[in-house]
Amino acid sequence: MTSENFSRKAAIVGIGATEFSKASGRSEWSLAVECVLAALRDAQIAPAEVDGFALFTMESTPEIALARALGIPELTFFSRIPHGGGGAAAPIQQAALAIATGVAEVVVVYRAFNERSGHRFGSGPPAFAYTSSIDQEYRNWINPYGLLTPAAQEAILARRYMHRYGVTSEDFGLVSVLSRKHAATNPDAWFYERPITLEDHQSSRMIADPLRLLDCCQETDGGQALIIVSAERAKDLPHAPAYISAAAQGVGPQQISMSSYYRQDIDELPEAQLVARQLWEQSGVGVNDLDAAIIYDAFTPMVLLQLEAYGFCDPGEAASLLREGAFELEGRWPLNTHGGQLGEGYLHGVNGIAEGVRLIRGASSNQPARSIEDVLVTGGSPVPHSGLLLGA
Amino acid sequence: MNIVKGARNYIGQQSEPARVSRFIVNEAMIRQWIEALDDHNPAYSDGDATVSPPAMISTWVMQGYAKQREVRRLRARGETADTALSHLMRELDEAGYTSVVATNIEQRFLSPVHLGVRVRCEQVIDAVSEVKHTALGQGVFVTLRKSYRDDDSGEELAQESFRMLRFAPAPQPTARPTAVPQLVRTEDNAFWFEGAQSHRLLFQRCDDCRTLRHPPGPSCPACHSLAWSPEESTREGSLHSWTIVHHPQDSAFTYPLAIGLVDLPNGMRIVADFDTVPDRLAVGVPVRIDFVTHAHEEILPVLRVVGTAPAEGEVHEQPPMPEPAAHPHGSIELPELVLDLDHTAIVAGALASQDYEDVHHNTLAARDRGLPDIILSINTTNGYVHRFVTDWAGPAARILEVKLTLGVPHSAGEALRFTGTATPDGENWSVDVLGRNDAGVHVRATVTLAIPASQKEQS
Repeated sequence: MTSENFSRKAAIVGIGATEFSKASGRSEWSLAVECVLAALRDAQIAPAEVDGFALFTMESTPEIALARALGIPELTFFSRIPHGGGGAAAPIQQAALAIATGVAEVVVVYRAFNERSGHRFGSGPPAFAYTSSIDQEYRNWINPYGLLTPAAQEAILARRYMHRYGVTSEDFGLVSVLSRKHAATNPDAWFYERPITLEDHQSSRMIADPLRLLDCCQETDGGQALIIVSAERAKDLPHAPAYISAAAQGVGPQQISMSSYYRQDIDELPEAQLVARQLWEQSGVGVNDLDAAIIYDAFTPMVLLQLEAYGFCDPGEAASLLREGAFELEGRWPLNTHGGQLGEGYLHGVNGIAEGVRLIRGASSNQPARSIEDVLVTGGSPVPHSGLLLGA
Repeated sequence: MNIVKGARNYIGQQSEPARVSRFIVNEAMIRQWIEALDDHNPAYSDGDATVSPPAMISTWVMQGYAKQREVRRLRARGETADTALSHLMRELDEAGYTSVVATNIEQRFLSPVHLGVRVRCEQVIDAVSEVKHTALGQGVFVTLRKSYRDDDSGEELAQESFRMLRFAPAPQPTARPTAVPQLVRTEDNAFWFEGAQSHRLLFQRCDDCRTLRHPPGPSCPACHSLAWSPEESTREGSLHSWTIVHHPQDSAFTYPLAIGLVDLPNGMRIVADFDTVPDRLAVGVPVRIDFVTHAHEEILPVLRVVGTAPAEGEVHEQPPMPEPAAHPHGSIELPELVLDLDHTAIVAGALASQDYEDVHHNTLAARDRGLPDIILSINTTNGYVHRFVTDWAGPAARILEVKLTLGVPHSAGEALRFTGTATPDGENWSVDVLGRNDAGVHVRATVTLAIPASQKEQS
């Protein structure tokens, strides 16, 4: 991949969200409209200027429903990315590519759902799991045996990781404690002013051994939108642009959704390593240059695995780094400063991208004391993956 | 707080005028009780015994079948007996709480009840709860405080706290369909499921480069050949990783559910569930693959542990499993008592305790109330708890106190299995009793006993 194609040619210039709740009381369509309007207001861009959308395939409100609801007259670019939260950063890549090549000028990314009051991912397979297609064929090898939820599917990797490196449930718990500490001082977080202790984590009930309740992110109703325009246009807008230094997707060897169990080492994430490699190549930024990181935290063990895949440390050492304070606000790489999906809200990772933008703007509720110039934001694991580097 | 309006005004009122036994404590009634409960404690079954079984205390002041018929006639005419308890029950009825079930009894036995005594019982409405959500449905707990006395001397014989739930029956939960999707069968994977049907574990081997692969696919990832043949694998392997799922629970499985990822000697891995949660799970534990029927009647692999020695690495701690309660120094396990209670046994127990509620006699009436069949009455359950404890403690033991909580109902035809642990408690013994049936815990009780020292040494 050559980096000169789109690095820093586009920027995120608007962010907007609804409240994060357990029951929004309105349609997913309405949540989508509300967060997109909020993001456009933030960017000071009129809805009629929007000409592109990049979404999740799992998004239930299609771009044409948004265009219709907002009276957007013409769209020249609309793209969908599969694999849920794994693809969280990929619509940003789509937007940046479209803008860098002149296919679109104002691209909107949103994720809006009633994931708590509607179908909960934690309750079992979603509706599309029941279509008989090769896309869902992988379920043949896990679901009939009761491996029905993301928590149970990831527990298999987490157990092997514990076995290999002597990592403990308390190590996973420290991820949760850190996120809830940051959420406690973020007024937009569901768990605002509700930090937890490691004892709370250790006494929370078992969901899928070794994963306890407090290893699992919350389930959320809400919407989050992002507005992407060219670097030139961004200079004239009210907020400091969060330049897209790099954005990448990745599928690794013998990749299977949620259950790449047939690789030699199931506790490694080659798809995340692949994304990391592309991000450094595209941007010229390395892991040591990063000023903060937003690591996808649907389940705590994946935060440790991703930190290792992105090269923050050697395999098996992420927990030590966490214990040493590297991810505190005053540490080397402030991590999930909004509280993550464990603490702020579960918006399939898109709220984490918004936090990356706030960090670049200097506007996070937990803004670190020093200047923030390069922020990594990752999508979910263990599925086909994506990642993003935002720059000041 | 959600309360039934006015219901709490009854707290502290006498629930009904004092009841005086229709007959004196007598050998015929005691004999009927002993036979119904098959309790042959010599303390009351011997020819020269002169005391009543303590659990019969409430029997002596039951009002009998004639009174039961009168109450039914009143109800049929929409009338209410003029007692505080009847008025309270009517108000709860009108609020929609129409069904009743006894939930707890606590009895303190102050003095033995001898033949010839006429028992009097005074009852006060002690508590009326707010509206509670229970497994049976929404309802209100009503607690009666009862004092049993010798009607002649006035001596207090026993004290009782009796709690019942007046509830609106919850709609019967319909069996939830499983969330397991139907298998996606294709030309590429059909062989695998056909093999499983005949209990054979098959993998695809490339006809050209001889590479094995799983899960199935149309082409060889190594040489891209479309030619392959199924090859049967050994069904013994070792655990690569595992989880135990506790939540959420799907109707196709029993929980907790252990699921393993298995390494096979041919280099392949498969996922399958364990038939039961093994005593110890660890990476490297040898497992065998069998085939059993899964959701949607599919025959698929199931795992069984064949040994406990891990093949590599350290053994990881057993996940938290319910552990047997630690026994403090000096405690004793009681011999288990298993009762096969048929319809006749349940009816006999109810009649021996003068209980004419239809759920203890009439299968059709029980089904109308959402029960599978007639159920054991709380007084009969209490009698069985006494029997279980005194079978162990012997005839010289005296029951001082019983605290009993009912769990799931016990229906006719089920086995009721009592276990218990006795622990010294100062001068006395405290016995924790658990009565289980197939549906779960039917009764949990703590019985306090005085056992003469000479006898305790023999036991």
